Amino acid sequence: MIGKVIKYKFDNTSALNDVFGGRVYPVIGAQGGATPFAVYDTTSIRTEGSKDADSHIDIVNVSITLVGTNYGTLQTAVDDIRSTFVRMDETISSVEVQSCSFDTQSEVFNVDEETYGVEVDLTFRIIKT
Amino acid sequence: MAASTSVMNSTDVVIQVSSDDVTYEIIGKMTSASLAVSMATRDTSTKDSAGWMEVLEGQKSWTLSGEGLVVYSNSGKATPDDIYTFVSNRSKVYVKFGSTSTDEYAYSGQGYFTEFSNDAGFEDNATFSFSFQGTSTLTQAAVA
Repeated sequence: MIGKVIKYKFDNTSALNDVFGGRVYPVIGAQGGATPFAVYDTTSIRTEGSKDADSHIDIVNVSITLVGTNYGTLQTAVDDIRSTFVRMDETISSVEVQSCSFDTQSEVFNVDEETYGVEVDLTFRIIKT
Repeated sequence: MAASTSVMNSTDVVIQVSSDDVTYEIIGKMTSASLAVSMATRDTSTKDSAGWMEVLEGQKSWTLSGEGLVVYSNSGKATPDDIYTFVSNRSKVYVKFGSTSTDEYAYSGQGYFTEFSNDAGFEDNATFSFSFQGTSTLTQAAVA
């Protein structure tokens, strides 16, 4: 469900859409495809339940990997992701996001494809009941 | 019908509160609930005890405690502000501890909420906890 939020935000935030142009994919991106692009996947979900319900809040860990040939562009995109998602309090496509926090960032370089990869890890609090 | 023969699911064990012993409300969004019953002892050791402590029965007492997630608007359930009000007003409250299922055992009595705390960290769940001191008899009975 969190994928709907990420896709929406990337497509409807001008700073991100100007860079990625809708090239935001779940789980995997096409090898040799147009860059830059972003790939997101859910790495874990922890439920916060009580005796009343299985979960009142889902703590959703998400990894977003940005792939591109220009390192500076990706660094700027990371800042834009942080300003777009962190502390958001919004309902998108029936997904009620209470908050979001930034966890960490890591980087790699693919020699064969000559592309940079920047991974951004976020944690979302999703209201369930 | 008798009580279930399988191990009880702790999720089913709740704490209910009432001001009048007629209308009970389950404390909502609880993540843990505990009942502790104890009996003090009287030291009856003498010079004849050969170095071993000897005791006789003493006073019995009981307490409840619990923790939960903070939600102030929770229809049909008691909420953290209800518990605070009980503490603030020093109200004598009726309580029940146990499953609400017929024939399961539950414990009931009266007493006072003696402690209420509300903890709020950073990008985390706001939680509450409380302690309850029972007064007089704690009754164990199958749920009717």
